[in-house]
Amino acid sequence: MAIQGVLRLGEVCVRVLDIDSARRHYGDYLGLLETLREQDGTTYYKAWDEHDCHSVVIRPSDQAGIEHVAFKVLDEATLDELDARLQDYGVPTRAIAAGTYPRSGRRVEFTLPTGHTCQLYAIKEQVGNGMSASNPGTVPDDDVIRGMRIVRLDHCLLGGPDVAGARDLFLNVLGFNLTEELQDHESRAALASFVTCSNKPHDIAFVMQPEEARLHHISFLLESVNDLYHAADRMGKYDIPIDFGPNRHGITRGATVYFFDPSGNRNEVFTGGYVYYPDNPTLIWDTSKFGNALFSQGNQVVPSFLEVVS
Amino acid sequence: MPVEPRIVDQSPAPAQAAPARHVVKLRSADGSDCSFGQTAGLPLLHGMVAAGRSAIPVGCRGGGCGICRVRVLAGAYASLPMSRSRISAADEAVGIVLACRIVPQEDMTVEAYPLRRDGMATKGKNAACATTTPPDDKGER
Repeated sequence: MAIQGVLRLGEVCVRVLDIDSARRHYGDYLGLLETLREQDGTTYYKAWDEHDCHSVVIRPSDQAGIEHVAFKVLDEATLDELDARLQDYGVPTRAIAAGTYPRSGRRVEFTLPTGHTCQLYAIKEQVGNGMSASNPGTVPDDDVIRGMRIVRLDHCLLGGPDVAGARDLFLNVLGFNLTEELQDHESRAALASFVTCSNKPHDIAFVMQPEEARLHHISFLLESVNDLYHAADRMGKYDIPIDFGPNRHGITRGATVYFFDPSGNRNEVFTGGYVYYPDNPTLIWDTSKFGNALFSQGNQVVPSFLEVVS
Repeated sequence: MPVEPRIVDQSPAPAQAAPARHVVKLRSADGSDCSFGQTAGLPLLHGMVAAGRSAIPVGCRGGGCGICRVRVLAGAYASLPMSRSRISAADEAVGIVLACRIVPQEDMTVEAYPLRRDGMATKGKNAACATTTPPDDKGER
């Protein structure tokens, strides 16, 4: 068992201005599977190949953006250990009792240097991916893989002024590795940092924004570039606003389409990239090759991609 | 001798009147003016894009990012929900709104009214000390 400590980005909670149009977007168009709905409209979804009961939460609000992100950790002992390490690092933590969040064990909550609310948890009810754990076969029943054929929640990109502070917290306290970084080519300041707790090119990333606690995007994994094109076709069919793509990132080498939910929260569908190991060198990009780092087919600097956040 | 193209209109007469169009006059952040015919029922920003104009930056198109912030100088409109972190209740009361979230009900005059946003687009220069403040509200710009 090599992946220990923090396992993955397990949950994002996105604020939406209108719950009906948001449900149409995340449920019908993206094809996520609804698993729970609360009185206030808050709705919970999972992607088909995730085993936990939810990974995406949409919550009615008068503001768009990100309510919290949450990482699943290996077990309760890991949760205690990381809680202690956060406090030793000077980060105050808040204990959240089991059951406060539906189908979830206790959580440890803290605020990132970028102003975002972040949680850790070890327990969330598992509902499976539609296939048995015994002789599972390879594909679930019809209508389980649907919409944009999203495999799972992959990562998120959060915006705030203190990119280096957030990066260092993930590296020094939570045990992540720095896979790639985009730096200003004159000052070498970190403009965007990409960190991983797994074999993925990133599990979370941070980008320079003047305001704290901004959402740049949440990203969903697809199986293939074919599925990426299929997803983009659905964006056209359903008038989903596209920010940019299809294209391929220089950073992470992932093929991508960026688009918006009806409340203006950016989503991404993503496929490809590379397998990261902890002995990989950190890849450094700088603004002398800004376009190549961002969108490598055309090497374009896309203003809306840099400026638009929720 | 080049052949002059002949313009032929074989389109059938419309079965019913085309949707009403409102005239929108728009002043961009750099002070240039334009006007276009706005198809009734579309948000103002979507009408601008449909008319092939780009006087206001286009962002999320869902009321979340605030990049299409404008001030309404004349004309009635219907509003869709917009993020309170971009448009306060006080803003909305004086006609400071997001162009993607207002649907013109008659001819309108609006001006771009951006939040200051110095993010990664400035390649990091001064980004850490940038603030988000609306432009000076006093006097005509």
